Amino acid sequence: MPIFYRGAGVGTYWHKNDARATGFVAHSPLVPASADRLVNHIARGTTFSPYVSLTASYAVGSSYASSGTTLPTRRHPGYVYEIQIDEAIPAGLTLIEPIRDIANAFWSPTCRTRFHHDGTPKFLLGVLDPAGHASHLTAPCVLPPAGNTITKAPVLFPELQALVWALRDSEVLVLGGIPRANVITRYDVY
Amino acid sequence: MAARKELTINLQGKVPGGAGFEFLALKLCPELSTYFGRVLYSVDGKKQDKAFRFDLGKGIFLDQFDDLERQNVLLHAAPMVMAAAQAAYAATHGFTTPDTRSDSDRLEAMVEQRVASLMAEQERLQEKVMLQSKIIDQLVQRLQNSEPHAGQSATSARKHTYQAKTEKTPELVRE
Repeated sequence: MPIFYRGAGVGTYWHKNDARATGFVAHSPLVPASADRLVNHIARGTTFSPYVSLTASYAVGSSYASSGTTLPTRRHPGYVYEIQIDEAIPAGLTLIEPIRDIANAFWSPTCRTRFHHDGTPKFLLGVLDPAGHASHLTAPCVLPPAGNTITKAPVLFPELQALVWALRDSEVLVLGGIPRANVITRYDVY
Repeated sequence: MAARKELTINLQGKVPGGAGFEFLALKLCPELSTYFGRVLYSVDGKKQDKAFRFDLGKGIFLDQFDDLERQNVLLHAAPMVMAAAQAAYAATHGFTTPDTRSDSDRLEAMVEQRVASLMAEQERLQEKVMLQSKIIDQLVQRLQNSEPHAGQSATSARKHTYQAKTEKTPELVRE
């Protein structure tokens, strides 16, 4: 029975509304699901989405719970919800592993794949931590010696960002919503 | 419980506002998370108690508006909030500012630096060798100038010279 978490910072929707009573519902459950929508959900943080984000890591959930509109305190803590999903997934609940779905949707053996970059081996550091390693994103990429005189930064498509950030957050998506029966408990974070 | 320490990065004049919003500062609490920050703002000149949540890993605001005008203000502000954070990180945590040189330029600079340090080392060694040869010359000169006293053997003359040297040593040390 896999256990997942979802953080809710002070002042956010799932902080004001107790998901143990209502379950989780996506911001826009009627929006059609697609691989592009999934990438936008992760890479652009689009809330206009039929997905609900969960994480397999309590630590990640706790980080999100700490990032509210105000700092969490003992009197006004952030929350981490614990969600348990049975191995026999209930009808109407669709779990999505974003890594697999993105890799499958954008992989082609004959075309340049949109989650490949042409930067240095340290390029991913920049994707993961653009505040601390911005230089890896902007350094002109090394090209084969073919008389090129125009320098350019490495290519970075949202598909690669989505892959990296899904891994960063140990992210799993649920399509539509999560029934309240699956929301087991809620922890305070401050 | 003691208040948590927060880093404050000034955004005034760096991040353009709009739709009544003005962005004031980015607050980071490293104790809680270095990936998420809070952007303090004012509405029509009035500072708000609440803040916008900002994901420093993705460079996006986690809060969104259904109102397009306000949402556009956030979308346009995000890259500049990120730039302010990058500059502050470089200044406060020792992160380097974006290095726009190509790998070959970086390699060339490293080679130049190494060559310069080797040349400096070579110069230092040459000076040392010149100084030592000067001292040897002076010693040889002194030995040649000091003639043995009449009636003394060469051995006793060397002994005399040695005694004269050891007598002078304390003075040299004091100098």
